[in-house]
Amino acid sequence: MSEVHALRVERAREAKPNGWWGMALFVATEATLFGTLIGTYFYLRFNVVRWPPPGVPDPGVALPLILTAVLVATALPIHTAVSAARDGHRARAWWLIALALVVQTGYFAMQVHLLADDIPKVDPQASSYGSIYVTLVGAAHAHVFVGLLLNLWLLARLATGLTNYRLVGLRVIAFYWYFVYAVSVAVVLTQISPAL
Amino acid sequence: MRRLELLQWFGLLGAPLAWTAQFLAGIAIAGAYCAPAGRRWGISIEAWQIALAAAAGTVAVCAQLSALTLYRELRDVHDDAPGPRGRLHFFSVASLVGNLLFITLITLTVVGAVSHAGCRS
Repeated sequence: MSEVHALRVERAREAKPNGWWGMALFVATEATLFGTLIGTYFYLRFNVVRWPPPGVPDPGVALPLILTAVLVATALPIHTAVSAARDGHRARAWWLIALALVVQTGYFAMQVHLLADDIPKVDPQASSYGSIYVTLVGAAHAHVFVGLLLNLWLLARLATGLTNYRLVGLRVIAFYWYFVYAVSVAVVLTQISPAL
Repeated sequence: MRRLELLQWFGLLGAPLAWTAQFLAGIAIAGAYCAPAGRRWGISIEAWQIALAAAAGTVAVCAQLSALTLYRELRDVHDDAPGPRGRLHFFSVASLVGNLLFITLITLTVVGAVSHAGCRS
């Protein structure tokens, strides 16, 4: 299918593609997962006097907030890439996704480093705080990792041309990233809440 | 088309909303049952939980029947067909699978609530 055909299909589209709705259902289930994790965090927090428990330091505030802001800033290249692809500018879309991928990979590497540094301090097997902290933050990072893999797949596919299928894929993956941004903000605010 | 849209949304959202309502109402009833004032009312937690599960289960089964009706009416639509008929077909399949999970959840919720009824003070 040529790029011209893909753009004609995109312009004639009257309803959202099924792939978009599939991602909407997936996002709904993942939102439920994070809702229960954050709910669990605060349920545990309100049932103890000291949170974090004695001997566990308060979480840092500045670095997680800055990193999350950097991640959320990649919404701009992702959104612009979708617009570029819908207008038929495949190369521009490819470079914008590559830019987002570089920044997101940096974010992911830094966050994994911070979590690896935190694990001995919070000790997930020693307290409910450590357990829910590592589960919540780890789940958020896992979703970023999945997003990186999706971006890599997208870059590989877009490198050889723009089809209707790939255009839908780009829109769907952008939707996934918007969800990851929202989750990252919710998780980081929960994570730093004891230090606020 | 409007009838199909209604079948689609009820088939998709009926069971999860029914389970959510059952779960939240179950927590409220357990809270009332265990509260000092509630104990004087003589609330039967088992009866309430079973009634809640029956109501939620009925809604979930109706949602499954809606999804099944929709699926049968759109049998000729291809999986990748464009919307709105493609989306209706896609959601009918998603609802048929999802509703089975929610019917199981409704059953497990009432089994857990009744078999572990008790107050922690």
